[in-house]
Amino acid sequence: MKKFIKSYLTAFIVLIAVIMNGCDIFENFQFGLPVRFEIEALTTAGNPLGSQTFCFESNDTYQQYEDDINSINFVAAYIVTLDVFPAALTGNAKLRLYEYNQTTQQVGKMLFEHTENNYTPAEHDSTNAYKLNLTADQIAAINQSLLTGPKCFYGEYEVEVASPNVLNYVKVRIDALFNVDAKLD
Amino acid sequence: MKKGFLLLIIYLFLSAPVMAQVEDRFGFFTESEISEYARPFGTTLGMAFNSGSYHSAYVSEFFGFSISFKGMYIFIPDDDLTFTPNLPQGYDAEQQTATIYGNEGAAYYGPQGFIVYPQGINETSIPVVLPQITGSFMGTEIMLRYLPGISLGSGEEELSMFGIGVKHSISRYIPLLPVDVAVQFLYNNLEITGVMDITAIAFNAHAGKSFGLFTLYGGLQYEASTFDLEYEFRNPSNLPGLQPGIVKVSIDGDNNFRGTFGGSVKLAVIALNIDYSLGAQSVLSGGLTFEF
Repeated sequence: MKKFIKSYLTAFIVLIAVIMNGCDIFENFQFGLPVRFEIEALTTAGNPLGSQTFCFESNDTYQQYEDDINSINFVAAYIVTLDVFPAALTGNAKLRLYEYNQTTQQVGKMLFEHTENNYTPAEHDSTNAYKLNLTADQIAAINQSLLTGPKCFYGEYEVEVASPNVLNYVKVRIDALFNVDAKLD
Repeated sequence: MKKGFLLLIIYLFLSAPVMAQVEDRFGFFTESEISEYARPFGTTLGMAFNSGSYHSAYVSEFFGFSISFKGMYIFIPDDDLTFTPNLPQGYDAEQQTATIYGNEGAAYYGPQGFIVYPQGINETSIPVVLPQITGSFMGTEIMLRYLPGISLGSGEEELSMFGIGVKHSISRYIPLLPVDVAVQFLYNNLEITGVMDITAIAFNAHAGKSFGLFTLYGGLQYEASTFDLEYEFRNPSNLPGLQPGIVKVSIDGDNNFRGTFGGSVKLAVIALNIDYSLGAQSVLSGGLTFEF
Protein backbone atom coordinates (compact mmCIF):
# COMPACT_ATOMS: atom_id res chain seq x y z
CA MET A 1 0.00 0.00 0.00
CA LYS A 2 2.80 2.39 0.91
CA LYS A 3 4.46 1.70 -2.42
CA PHE A 4 1.18 2.34 -4.23
CA ILE A 5 0.66 5.70 -2.51
CA LYS A 6 4.24 6.66 -3.30
CA SER A 7 3.73 5.77 -6.96
CA TYR A 8 0.49 7.70 -7.06
CA LEU A 9 2.09 10.80 -5.57
CA THR A 10 4.99 10.55 -7.98
CA ALA A 11 2.62 10.30 -10.90
CA PHE A 12 0.79 13.43 -9.77
CA ILE A 13 4.00 15.37 -9.32
CA VAL A 14 5.42 14.25 -12.64
CA LEU A 15 2.18 15.16 -14.39
CA ILE A 16 2.16 18.66 -12.97
CA ALA A 17 5.87 19.12 -13.51
CA VAL A 18 5.51 18.10 -17.16
CA ILE A 19 2.59 20.46 -17.63
CA MET A 20 4.34 23.39 -16.04
CA ASN A 21 7.90 22.83 -17.21
CA GLY A 22 6.76 22.98 -20.80
CA CYS A 23 5.81 26.59 -20.23
CA ASP A 24 8.34 29.14 -21.37
CA ILE A 25 6.31 31.69 -19.44
CA PHE A 26 7.72 30.30 -16.20
CA GLU A 27 11.27 30.79 -17.39
CA ASN A 28 11.01 34.21 -18.99
CA PHE A 29 9.24 37.38 -18.06
CA GLN A 30 8.58 40.08 -20.63
CA PHE A 31 7.61 43.55 -19.53
CA GLY A 32 7.56 47.11 -20.73
CA LEU A 33 10.29 49.34 -19.35
CA PRO A 34 9.48 53.04 -19.64
CA VAL A 35 12.37 55.49 -19.38
CA ARG A 36 12.30 59.24 -19.42
CA PHE A 37 14.82 62.02 -19.40
CA GLU A 38 14.66 65.75 -19.90
CA ILE A 39 16.73 67.97 -22.18
CA GLU A 40 17.00 71.68 -21.69
CA ALA A 41 18.07 73.82 -24.64
CA LEU A 42 18.86 77.47 -23.90
CA THR A 43 20.72 80.03 -25.96
CA THR A 44 21.02 83.71 -26.68
CA ALA A 45 23.28 83.12 -29.65
CA GLY A 46 22.69 80.40 -32.21
CA ASN A 47 20.14 77.64 -32.18
CA PRO A 48 18.87 76.32 -28.87
CA LEU A 49 20.76 73.11 -28.28
CA GLY A 50 20.78 70.89 -25.23
CA SER A 51 21.87 67.42 -24.26
CA GLN A 52 21.40 64.82 -21.59
CA THR A 53 22.82 61.41 -20.82
CA PHE A 54 20.82 58.42 -19.75
CA CYS A 55 22.00 55.04 -18.48
CA PHE A 56 19.72 52.08 -17.94
CA GLU A 57 21.57 51.37 -14.71
CA SER A 58 19.84 54.38 -13.19
CA ASN A 59 16.45 52.75 -13.67
CA ASP A 60 15.23 50.81 -10.60
CA THR A 61 13.32 48.21 -12.59
CA TYR A 62 16.28 47.62 -14.88
CA GLN A 63 18.54 47.21 -11.86
CA GLN A 64 16.22 44.59 -10.41
CA TYR A 65 16.51 42.35 -13.49
CA GLU A 66 19.91 43.49 -14.75
CA ASP A 67 21.68 40.16 -14.31
CA ASP A 68 18.84 38.17 -15.83
CA ILE A 69 18.01 40.19 -18.93
CA ASN A 70 17.98 38.23 -22.17
CA SER A 71 17.20 41.18 -24.42
CA ILE A 72 15.94 44.75 -24.55
CA ASN A 73 14.22 46.18 -27.57
CA PHE A 74 13.00 49.62 -28.46
CA VAL A 75 9.21 49.94 -28.76
CA ALA A 76 8.25 53.62 -29.06
CA ALA A 77 9.23 57.14 -28.05
CA TYR A 78 7.58 60.52 -27.69
CA ILE A 79 8.82 64.08 -27.22
CA VAL A 80 6.89 66.27 -24.78
CA THR A 81 7.51 69.98 -24.56
CA LEU A 82 7.63 71.01 -20.92
CA ASP A 83 8.54 74.66 -21.44
CA VAL A 84 9.32 76.91 -24.38
CA PHE A 85 10.24 80.58 -24.87
CA PRO A 86 9.13 82.35 -26.92
CA ALA A 87 5.89 80.40 -27.17
CA ALA A 88 5.78 80.89 -30.91
CA LEU A 89 9.25 79.41 -31.41
CA THR A 90 9.29 77.37 -34.59
CA GLY A 91 12.02 75.68 -36.56
CA ASN A 92 13.49 72.42 -37.69
CA ALA A 93 13.68 70.23 -34.59
CA LYS A 94 16.37 67.58 -34.43
CA LEU A 95 16.78 64.78 -31.94
CA ARG A 96 20.03 62.86 -32.07
CA LEU A 97 20.87 59.82 -30.04
CA TYR A 98 24.41 58.61 -29.48
CA GLU A 99 26.01 55.82 -27.51
CA TYR A 100 27.71 57.09 -24.39
CA ASN A 101 30.55 55.68 -22.36
CA GLN A 102 29.86 56.66 -18.79
CA THR A 103 33.32 55.66 -17.57
CA THR A 104 35.23 57.81 -20.03
CA GLN A 105 32.35 60.26 -20.48
CA GLN A 106 32.90 60.00 -24.22
CA VAL A 107 30.09 60.32 -26.72
CA GLY A 108 30.13 57.37 -29.11
CA LYS A 109 28.58 56.65 -32.45
CA MET A 110 25.33 58.26 -33.48
CA LEU A 111 22.39 55.85 -33.51
CA PHE A 112 19.95 58.13 -35.26
CA GLU A 113 19.07 61.69 -36.10
CA HIS A 114 15.41 62.49 -36.42
CA THR A 115 14.37 65.78 -37.98
CA GLU A 116 10.96 67.40 -38.05
CA ASN A 117 10.78 70.56 -40.14
CA ASN A 118 8.70 73.58 -39.17
CA TYR A 119 8.20 72.17 -35.72
CA THR A 120 6.46 74.26 -33.08
CA PRO A 121 7.37 72.87 -29.66
CA ALA A 122 4.48 74.66 -27.94
CA GLU A 123 2.03 72.50 -29.88
CA HIS A 124 3.43 69.32 -28.36
CA ASP A 125 2.82 69.54 -24.65
CA SER A 126 1.86 66.49 -22.56
CA THR A 127 -1.62 66.34 -24.07
CA ASN A 128 -0.27 66.17 -27.61
CA ALA A 129 3.14 64.57 -27.43
CA TYR A 130 5.15 64.22 -30.62
CA LYS A 131 5.63 60.60 -31.62
CA LEU A 132 9.03 59.72 -33.01
CA ASN A 133 8.51 57.69 -36.13
CA LEU A 134 11.84 55.98 -36.52
CA THR A 135 12.83 53.92 -39.51
CA ALA A 136 13.49 50.22 -39.25
CA ASP A 137 17.22 50.89 -39.64
CA GLN A 138 17.19 53.42 -36.80
CA ILE A 139 15.33 51.00 -34.54
CA ALA A 140 17.76 48.25 -35.50
CA ALA A 141 20.67 50.52 -34.58
CA ILE A 142 19.18 51.17 -31.13
CA ASN A 143 18.50 47.50 -30.56
CA GLN A 144 22.00 46.53 -31.67
CA SER A 145 23.42 49.05 -29.25
CA LEU A 146 21.24 47.67 -26.48
CA LEU A 147 22.59 44.23 -27.29
CA THR A 148 26.28 45.02 -27.46
CA GLY A 149 26.74 48.64 -26.41
CA PRO A 150 27.23 50.33 -23.05
CA LYS A 151 23.47 50.80 -22.46
CA CYS A 152 24.14 54.47 -21.85
CA PHE A 153 22.99 57.13 -24.27
CA TYR A 154 23.61 60.75 -25.04
CA GLY A 155 20.58 62.59 -26.35
CA GLU A 156 20.87 65.92 -28.13
CA TYR A 157 17.94 68.18 -28.97
CA GLU A 158 18.20 71.18 -31.23
CA VAL A 159 15.78 73.55 -32.89
CA GLU A 160 17.07 75.43 -35.93
CA VAL A 161 15.26 78.72 -35.50
CA ALA A 162 14.79 81.61 -37.86
CA SER A 163 15.96 84.14 -35.24
CA PRO A 164 18.94 82.53 -33.55
CA ASN A 165 20.42 85.58 -31.84
CA VAL A 166 17.72 86.18 -29.23
CA LEU A 167 16.80 84.28 -26.08
CA ASN A 168 15.40 80.90 -27.13
CA TYR A 169 14.57 78.23 -24.61
CA VAL A 170 13.05 74.77 -24.97
CA LYS A 171 12.73 72.08 -22.34
CA VAL A 172 11.55 68.68 -23.49
CA ARG A 173 10.96 65.30 -21.96
CA ILE A 174 11.78 62.18 -23.90
CA ASP A 175 9.47 59.26 -23.06
CA ALA A 176 10.72 55.97 -24.44
CA LEU A 177 9.41 52.46 -24.01
CA PHE A 178 11.51 49.32 -24.22
CA ASN A 179 10.50 45.72 -24.06
CA VAL A 180 12.57 43.62 -21.68
CA ASP A 181 12.82 39.85 -21.79
CA ALA A 182 14.23 38.62 -18.49
CA LYS A 183 14.99 35.18 -17.22
CA LEU A 184 13.20 34.26 -14.01
CA ASP A 185 15.17 32.44 -11.34
CA MET B 1 17.26 17.12 -0.58
CA LYS B 2 15.59 19.90 1.39
CA LYS B 3 14.77 21.72 -1.83
CA GLY B 4 13.38 18.54 -3.33
CA PHE B 5 11.19 17.96 -0.30
CA LEU B 6 10.00 21.55 -0.37
CA LEU B 7 9.15 21.32 -4.05
CA LEU B 8 7.28 18.12 -3.47
CA ILE B 9 5.23 19.65 -0.70
CA ILE B 10 4.39 22.76 -2.70
CA TYR B 11 3.60 20.75 -5.79
CA LEU B 12 1.25 18.68 -3.69
CA PHE B 13 -0.68 21.60 -2.45
CA LEU B 14 -0.52 24.11 -5.21
CA SER B 15 1.19 24.58 -8.52
CA ALA B 16 4.52 25.88 -7.32
CA PRO B 17 5.58 27.69 -10.50
CA VAL B 18 2.39 29.72 -10.44
CA MET B 19 2.98 30.74 -6.85
CA ALA B 20 6.62 31.57 -7.35
CA GLN B 21 6.29 33.63 -10.49
CA VAL B 22 3.26 35.75 -9.78
CA GLU B 23 5.00 37.91 -7.21
CA ASP B 24 7.24 39.54 -9.82
CA ARG B 25 4.16 40.72 -11.64
CA PHE B 26 2.26 42.13 -8.67
CA GLY B 27 4.90 44.84 -8.19
CA PHE B 28 3.59 46.66 -11.28
CA PHE B 29 0.24 47.42 -9.68
CA THR B 30 -1.01 50.04 -7.31
CA GLU B 31 -3.41 49.01 -4.58
CA SER B 32 -6.37 50.21 -6.64
CA GLU B 33 -5.35 48.19 -9.70
CA ILE B 34 -4.14 44.89 -8.31
CA SER B 35 -7.65 43.51 -7.73
CA GLU B 36 -8.51 43.20 -11.41
CA TYR B 37 -5.18 41.59 -12.20
CA ALA B 38 -5.07 39.11 -9.32
CA ARG B 39 -8.77 38.34 -8.73
CA PRO B 40 -8.87 35.38 -11.17
CA PHE B 41 -6.01 33.83 -9.22
CA GLY B 42 -7.96 34.16 -5.97
CA THR B 43 -11.00 32.71 -7.69
CA THR B 44 -8.95 29.73 -8.87
CA LEU B 45 -7.68 29.04 -5.39
CA GLY B 46 -11.22 29.28 -4.09
CA MET B 47 -12.39 26.89 -6.80
CA ALA B 48 -9.58 24.47 -5.92
CA PHE B 49 -10.11 24.47 -2.19
CA ASN B 50 -13.84 24.06 -2.58
CA SER B 51 -13.45 21.10 -4.94
CA GLY B 52 -12.97 17.42 -4.36
CA SER B 53 -14.76 17.36 -1.04
CA TYR B 54 -17.12 14.49 -1.90
CA HIS B 55 -17.44 11.60 -4.31
CA SER B 56 -20.70 10.22 -2.97
CA ALA B 57 -23.38 11.36 -0.57
CA TYR B 58 -23.08 8.27 1.59
CA VAL B 59 -21.80 8.73 5.13
CA SER B 60 -20.95 5.75 7.26
CA GLU B 61 -23.47 5.02 9.99
CA PHE B 62 -20.71 3.72 12.22
CA PHE B 63 -17.00 4.33 11.86
CA GLY B 64 -15.31 5.19 8.61
CA PHE B 65 -11.89 6.47 7.60
CA SER B 66 -10.34 7.45 4.29
CA ILE B 67 -7.25 8.98 2.72
CA SER B 68 -7.72 10.79 -0.57
CA PHE B 69 -5.59 12.44 -3.20
CA LYS B 70 -7.60 14.86 -5.27
CA GLY B 71 -6.33 16.26 -8.52
CA MET B 72 -8.08 19.18 -10.19
CA TYR B 73 -7.80 20.91 -13.48
CA ILE B 74 -9.28 24.37 -13.33
CA PHE B 75 -10.24 25.94 -16.63
CA ILE B 76 -9.83 29.70 -16.86
CA PRO B 77 -12.59 31.41 -18.88
CA ASP B 78 -11.76 34.04 -21.49
CA ASP B 79 -13.26 36.76 -19.28
CA ASP B 80 -10.55 36.08 -16.72
CA LEU B 81 -7.69 36.56 -19.18
CA THR B 82 -7.88 40.33 -19.73
CA PHE B 83 -9.18 43.44 -18.05
CA THR B 84 -9.51 47.15 -18.78
CA PRO B 85 -7.25 49.16 -16.49
CA ASN B 86 -8.44 52.26 -14.73
CA LEU B 87 -6.07 54.77 -16.29
CA PRO B 88 -5.51 58.40 -15.26
CA GLN B 89 -7.20 61.19 -17.15
CA GLY B 90 -5.78 61.71 -20.62
CA TYR B 91 -5.11 58.04 -21.29
CA ASP B 92 -7.11 55.88 -23.64
CA ALA B 93 -7.61 52.24 -22.63
CA GLU B 94 -8.77 51.10 -26.05
CA GLN B 95 -6.78 47.93 -25.56
CA GLN B 96 -7.18 45.51 -22.67
CA THR B 97 -4.25 44.16 -20.71
CA ALA B 98 -3.56 40.74 -19.29
CA THR B 99 -4.75 39.48 -15.94
CA ILE B 100 -2.49 37.08 -14.10
CA TYR B 101 -3.65 34.38 -16.53
CA GLY B 102 -3.48 36.47 -19.69
CA ASN B 103 -0.62 36.85 -22.11
CA GLU B 104 0.47 40.29 -23.28
CA GLY B 105 0.79 43.16 -20.86
CA ALA B 106 -0.28 46.44 -22.45
CA ALA B 107 1.45 49.82 -22.46
CA TYR B 108 -0.50 53.07 -22.61
CA TYR B 109 0.81 56.50 -23.45
CA GLY B 110 -0.58 59.71 -22.03
CA PRO B 111 0.29 62.98 -20.28
CA GLN B 112 2.36 61.31 -17.56
CA GLY B 113 4.33 59.13 -19.97
CA PHE B 114 4.06 55.41 -20.48
CA ILE B 115 2.07 53.28 -18.07
CA VAL B 116 2.99 49.63 -18.39
CA TYR B 117 1.31 46.47 -17.20
CA PRO B 118 2.98 43.07 -16.89
CA GLN B 119 2.22 40.03 -18.92
CA GLY B 120 0.32 37.19 -17.30
CA ILE B 121 1.41 33.60 -17.08
CA ASN B 122 -0.48 32.75 -20.29
CA GLU B 123 -2.34 29.80 -18.85
CA THR B 124 -5.91 28.76 -19.52
CA SER B 125 -5.90 25.86 -17.09
CA ILE B 126 -4.32 25.32 -13.71
CA PRO B 127 -3.66 21.96 -12.04
CA VAL B 128 -3.95 21.63 -8.28
CA VAL B 129 -3.44 18.60 -6.08
CA LEU B 130 -4.81 18.23 -2.57
CA PRO B 131 -4.43 15.30 -0.20
CA GLN B 132 -7.05 14.95 2.53
CA ILE B 133 -8.26 12.55 5.19
CA THR B 134 -11.75 11.96 6.45
CA GLY B 135 -13.23 10.27 9.46
CA SER B 136 -16.92 9.54 9.89
CA PHE B 137 -19.12 8.46 12.73
CA MET B 138 -22.88 8.20 13.05
CA GLY B 139 -23.73 9.94 9.83
CA THR B 140 -21.26 12.80 10.24
CA GLU B 141 -17.98 13.05 8.39
CA ILE B 142 -15.06 15.32 9.15
CA MET B 143 -12.59 16.09 6.38
CA LEU B 144 -9.15 17.52 7.11
CA ARG B 145 -6.49 19.07 4.91
CA TYR B 146 -3.40 20.13 6.77
CA LEU B 147 0.12 21.24 6.14
CA PRO B 148 2.28 22.41 9.04
CA GLY B 149 4.29 25.59 8.56
CA ILE B 150 7.19 25.00 6.20
CA SER B 151 9.90 27.60 5.85
CA LEU B 152 10.33 28.85 2.30
CA GLY B 153 14.03 29.49 1.96
CA SER B 154 16.02 31.65 4.34
CA GLY B 155 13.43 34.39 4.71
CA GLU B 156 10.53 34.60 7.10
CA GLU B 157 8.08 33.24 4.55
CA GLU B 158 6.34 30.10 5.69
CA LEU B 159 3.77 28.04 3.85
CA SER B 160 0.95 26.47 5.81
CA MET B 161 -2.49 25.16 5.05
CA PHE B 162 -5.51 24.07 7.00
CA GLY B 163 -8.84 22.88 5.71
CA ILE B 164 -11.81 21.31 7.40
CA GLY B 165 -15.10 20.02 6.10
CA VAL B 166 -18.11 18.80 8.02
CA LYS B 167 -20.60 16.63 6.19
CA HIS B 168 -23.80 15.23 7.55
CA SER B 169 -26.13 12.69 6.05
CA ILE B 170 -29.69 13.90 5.56
CA SER B 171 -30.99 10.71 4.02
CA ARG B 172 -30.49 8.84 7.29
CA TYR B 173 -33.52 10.75 8.59
CA ILE B 174 -35.66 9.89 5.58
CA PRO B 175 -36.25 6.15 5.32
CA LEU B 176 -36.74 4.63 1.87
CA LEU B 177 -35.23 7.66 0.14
CA PRO B 178 -33.91 6.22 -3.13
CA VAL B 179 -30.76 8.36 -3.09
CA ASP B 180 -28.22 9.37 -0.48
CA VAL B 181 -28.39 13.04 0.43
CA ALA B 182 -25.90 15.03 2.50
CA VAL B 183 -24.97 18.59 3.31
CA GLN B 184 -21.44 19.84 3.83
CA PHE B 185 -19.61 22.92 5.07
CA LEU B 186 -16.02 23.61 4.00
CA TYR B 187 -13.39 25.98 5.33
CA ASN B 188 -9.92 26.14 3.82
CA ASN B 189 -7.03 28.48 4.42
CA LEU B 190 -3.61 28.67 2.82
CA GLU B 191 -1.06 31.17 4.01
CA ILE B 192 2.37 32.19 2.90
CA THR B 193 3.37 34.54 5.67
CA GLY B 194 4.01 38.03 4.45
CA VAL B 195 2.82 37.23 0.92
CA MET B 196 -0.69 35.86 0.72
CA ASP B 197 -3.50 34.43 2.78
CA ILE B 198 -6.36 32.70 1.00
CA THR B 199 -9.55 31.70 2.75
CA ALA B 200 -12.32 29.78 1.02
CA ILE B 201 -15.65 28.71 2.45
CA ALA B 202 -18.44 26.69 0.91
CA PHE B 203 -21.74 25.13 1.76
CA ASN B 204 -23.22 22.43 -0.40
CA ALA B 205 -26.00 19.91 -0.65
CA HIS B 206 -25.29 16.82 -2.69
CA ALA B 207 -26.91 13.55 -3.59
CA GLY B 208 -25.68 10.22 -4.88
CA LYS B 209 -27.06 6.95 -6.12
CA SER B 210 -25.14 3.67 -6.21
CA PHE B 211 -25.45 1.08 -8.96
CA GLY B 212 -23.36 -1.81 -7.78
CA LEU B 213 -19.74 -0.70 -7.89
CA PHE B 214 -20.65 2.60 -9.53
CA THR B 215 -22.03 5.75 -7.96
CA LEU B 216 -23.39 8.79 -9.69
CA TYR B 217 -23.36 11.98 -7.68
CA GLY B 218 -24.07 15.66 -8.03
CA GLY B 219 -24.52 18.74 -5.92
CA LEU B 220 -25.09 22.45 -5.66
CA GLN B 221 -22.71 24.63 -3.73
CA TYR B 222 -22.53 28.20 -2.53
CA GLU B 223 -18.96 29.38 -2.08
CA ALA B 224 -16.81 32.41 -1.46
CA SER B 225 -13.12 33.19 -1.29
CA THR B 226 -10.97 36.01 0.01
CA PHE B 227 -7.43 36.57 -1.13
CA ASP B 228 -5.29 38.77 1.14
CA LEU B 229 -2.17 39.82 -0.65
CA GLU B 230 0.98 41.61 0.45
CA TYR B 231 3.57 42.72 -2.07
CA GLU B 232 5.98 45.49 -2.91
CA PHE B 233 4.73 48.07 -5.39
CA ARG B 234 7.77 49.18 -7.43
CA ASN B 235 6.23 51.91 -9.60
CA PRO B 236 7.96 50.72 -12.79
CA SER B 237 6.11 53.37 -14.82
CA ASN B 238 7.66 56.06 -12.60
CA LEU B 239 4.30 57.69 -12.19
CA PRO B 240 4.52 60.98 -10.34
CA GLY B 241 2.94 61.09 -6.90
CA LEU B 242 3.32 57.37 -6.31
CA GLN B 243 5.94 55.96 -4.02
CA PRO B 244 7.18 52.37 -4.08
CA GLY B 245 6.27 50.45 -0.96
CA ILE B 246 4.46 47.57 0.62
CA VAL B 247 0.83 47.13 -0.40
CA LYS B 248 -1.66 45.08 1.57
CA VAL B 249 -4.93 44.37 -0.13
CA SER B 250 -7.88 42.03 0.31
CA ILE B 251 -9.51 40.71 -2.86
CA ASP B 252 -12.78 38.83 -3.05
CA GLY B 253 -12.84 35.99 -5.57
CA ASP B 254 -15.66 35.70 -8.08
CA ASN B 255 -16.76 32.42 -6.51
CA ASN B 256 -20.48 32.17 -5.84
CA PHE B 257 -22.41 29.11 -6.98
CA ARG B 258 -21.37 25.91 -8.65
CA GLY B 259 -23.01 22.75 -9.84
CA THR B 260 -21.15 19.45 -9.78
CA PHE B 261 -21.84 16.17 -11.52
CA GLY B 262 -19.69 13.07 -11.46
CA GLY B 263 -19.24 9.39 -10.94
CA SER B 264 -17.14 7.03 -8.90
CA VAL B 265 -16.24 3.40 -8.85
CA LYS B 266 -15.28 1.47 -5.77
CA LEU B 267 -13.03 -1.56 -5.88
CA ALA B 268 -12.52 -3.06 -2.40
CA VAL B 269 -10.95 -0.23 -0.38
CA ILE B 270 -10.10 1.91 -3.39
CA ALA B 271 -12.51 4.44 -4.87
CA LEU B 272 -11.79 6.33 -8.05
CA ASN B 273 -13.89 9.32 -9.00
CA ILE B 274 -14.15 12.03 -11.61
CA ASP B 275 -16.47 15.01 -11.70
CA TYR B 276 -17.02 18.31 -13.43
CA SER B 277 -18.06 21.53 -11.77
CA LEU B 278 -19.52 24.59 -13.45
CA GLY B 279 -19.00 27.81 -11.53
CA ALA B 280 -17.02 31.02 -11.76
CA GLN B 281 -14.37 28.79 -13.29
CA SER B 282 -14.93 25.19 -14.37
CA VAL B 283 -13.18 22.35 -12.61
CA LEU B 284 -12.45 18.84 -13.74
CA SER B 285 -11.67 16.90 -10.60
CA GLY B 286 -10.46 13.38 -10.11
CA GLY B 287 -9.52 11.47 -7.05
CA LEU B 288 -8.15 8.31 -5.57
CA THR B 289 -9.51 7.41 -2.16
CA PHE B 290 -8.56 4.62 0.17
CA GLU B 291 -11.66 3.92 2.24
CA PHE B 292 -11.66 1.80 5.35
